[in-house]
Amino acid sequence: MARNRDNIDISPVIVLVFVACTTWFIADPQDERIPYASVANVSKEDISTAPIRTRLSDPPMVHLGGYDRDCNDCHRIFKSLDKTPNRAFQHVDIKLNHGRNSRCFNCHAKADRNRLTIYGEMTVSYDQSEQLCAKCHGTTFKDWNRGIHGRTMGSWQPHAAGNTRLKCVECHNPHSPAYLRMKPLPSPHTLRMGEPSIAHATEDSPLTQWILSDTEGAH
Amino acid sequence: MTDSENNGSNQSRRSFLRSGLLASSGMLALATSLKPLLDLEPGDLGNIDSFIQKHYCEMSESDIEKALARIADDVEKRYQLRPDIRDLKPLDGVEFVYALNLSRCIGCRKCVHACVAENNQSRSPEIQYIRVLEMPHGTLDIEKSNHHYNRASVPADSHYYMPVQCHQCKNAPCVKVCPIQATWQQDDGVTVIDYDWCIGCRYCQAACPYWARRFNFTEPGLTKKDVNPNMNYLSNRPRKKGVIEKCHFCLQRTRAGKLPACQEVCPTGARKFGNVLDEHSNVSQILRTKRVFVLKEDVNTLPRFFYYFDERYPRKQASSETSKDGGSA
Ligand code: HEC
Ligand code: HEC
Ligand code: HEC
Ligand code: HEC
Repeated sequence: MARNRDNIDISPVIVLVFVACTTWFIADPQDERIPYASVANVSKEDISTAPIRTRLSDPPMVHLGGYDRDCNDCHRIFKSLDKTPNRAFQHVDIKLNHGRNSRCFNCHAKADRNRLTIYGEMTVSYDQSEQLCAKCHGTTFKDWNRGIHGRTMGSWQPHAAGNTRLKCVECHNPHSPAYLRMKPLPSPHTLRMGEPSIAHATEDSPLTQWILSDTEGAH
Repeated sequence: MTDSENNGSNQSRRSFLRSGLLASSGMLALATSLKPLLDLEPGDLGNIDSFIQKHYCEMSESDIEKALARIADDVEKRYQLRPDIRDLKPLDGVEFVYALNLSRCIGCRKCVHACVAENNQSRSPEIQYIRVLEMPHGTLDIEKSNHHYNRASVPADSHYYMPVQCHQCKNAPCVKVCPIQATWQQDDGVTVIDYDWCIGCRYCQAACPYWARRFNFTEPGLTKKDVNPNMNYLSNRPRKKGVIEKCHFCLQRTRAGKLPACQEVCPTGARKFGNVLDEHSNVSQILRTKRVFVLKEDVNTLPRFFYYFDERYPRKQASSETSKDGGSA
């Protein structure tokens, strides 16, 4: 009896293990379990560095009634009413949503429509429109001047040649200046970012989606 | 006696067969376990030069020239385009600092994707250096944040957004834990990685309190059309499987005087980058005039990445013009 026990033969087991290993390596079932993300669809325009608005140049040209003209081409002829600016025929698309700043002539010069008004007779051209904003938004303008508000492009050296600082009107519509909402670019599609909050992961999380699809046997 | 002899010869034949079977099935298992080697392409093992290359800090000028030429050849072989690869050194009198205005950021993720386009990260599986956290107003609790938000439009009502990337800490835990000094801090304050030296142990990834480091678990999925040929040795040259990578303040741009890609793409101007040693730079002025804070100050990492709010906070509800519904998820 004792002898028999000594002779228990485990080699078939080892062979079985080896064969199992072989099949495992050949079948390679782990390969497809890695949840690869598809490549996110982001076009060149999505990450363009162009400002969100194009501004007017000096003199300001607009495309109205089929022609390109500057403001004075018309306003030389049409005299403005003295009191309430009226807009029955032109510029009807312009809706002011600028807080209590609700008068066209707070900003546009009455006598010379190709210029913006600062104070009294003092006016600035359209390519210096930040001076206009400065008269009411002093602190923001000061920040902008120091490169703290708004965006500078080119170099991190403060006064390097070729730096461009975006103007206020390249980000804010002067008539309705609140910054617009936009559609966000695709969310990350990876598990390899050291999840900060798996516990709070939303349904959008690829981890959640992967777990869900796995339990449904869809994978 | 004959019985036992018989038995003996039987047994030896059997044991011969047995051990033969054992050995051959063992060989089979061993051979199939090497199967991944079949997938190797001729260039996959790298060449001997990269293998015996020294640590970046110990390389001479000519060693670096040689390494750059080798990398250029590698890239050309892999992506059929000749990169413009350089080894830009830290500039004198420059220490880079980043500042981010949380009352401007709207969470549009343009920085995330501009970074990916600039820095030759793997597209699939996705590797991104910047993570934008969406957080409810009135909290700084990162546990309550979500970086998978998917909304029709941002910013969502009563949320704010906090982009996180490598903070280039002065007291960097990742540098301390690296067993082979494959990651270290340079004079302009940027923590860099020698991708040829990294052994992929991921200690640094575990040590980073800002989850800023990313690991290449697979061969990076980068295709020819996505390659940015403007490369730098310690920053955005293509990586390989098994190495760590992270944000490096776009050294290939910033050491050439330009701004980081994430800064230039930000549509709101929330991101500010500059030299703190220059008192006229925007970041110096921000540090002087705004109330800045750093993330996880209590872990004493001394980040070079500052956050601040403007006076007006929380922001007024954004214009409803493009936001029929706030995309509330
Ligand atoms: C096609 C001709 C035309 C052009 C070009 C034009 N305007 Fe006008 N604009 C008018 C008319 C007509 C009115 C009077 C409103 C009405 O009766 O509808 C007016 C009204 C205005 C008013 C309201 C105050 C007022 O005078 O009654 C402002 C401000 C104004 N225009 C600014 C501009 C500016 C700035 C430009 C250039 C960017 C410009 N306009 C270009 C035709 C024009
Ligand atoms: C906050 C100051 C401000 C007020 C108030 C204002 N504007 Fe303007 N407006 C500007 C500035 C600045 C520009 C130039 C924008 C640019 O460069 O893109 C402009 C551009 C224009 C233009 C030409 C571009 C366009 O959007 O068609 C017209 C027309 C115009 N304004 C009409 C008016 C009228 C009419 C009113 C009154 C109802 C008015 N504006 C009120 C500042 C103002
Ligand atoms: C005549 C004074 C005046 C001028 C000129 C002026 N603003 Fe304003 N602005 C205001 C007032 C008043 C408000 C409303 C503040 C409030 O509601 O709290 C305002 C609000 C704003 C806001 C915040 C809007 C919001 O809803 O969040 C922005 C942005 C802004 N202005 C940008 C500009 C820009 C850009 C210019 C230059 C083109 C400009 N402003 C010129 C008076 C002015
Ligand atoms: C790069 C784009 C950009 C430029 C350039 C820019 N702004 Fe802004 N501005 C913003 C954003 C984004 C906000 C935040 C708006 C929000 O929260 O809805 C803002 C907010 C404001 C506000 C609201 C008050 C506040 O601090 O939140 C004012 C006023 C303002 N800007 C004025 C200006 C003026 C004046 C200029 C030019 C001197 C200017 N902006 C240039 C992007 C810009």
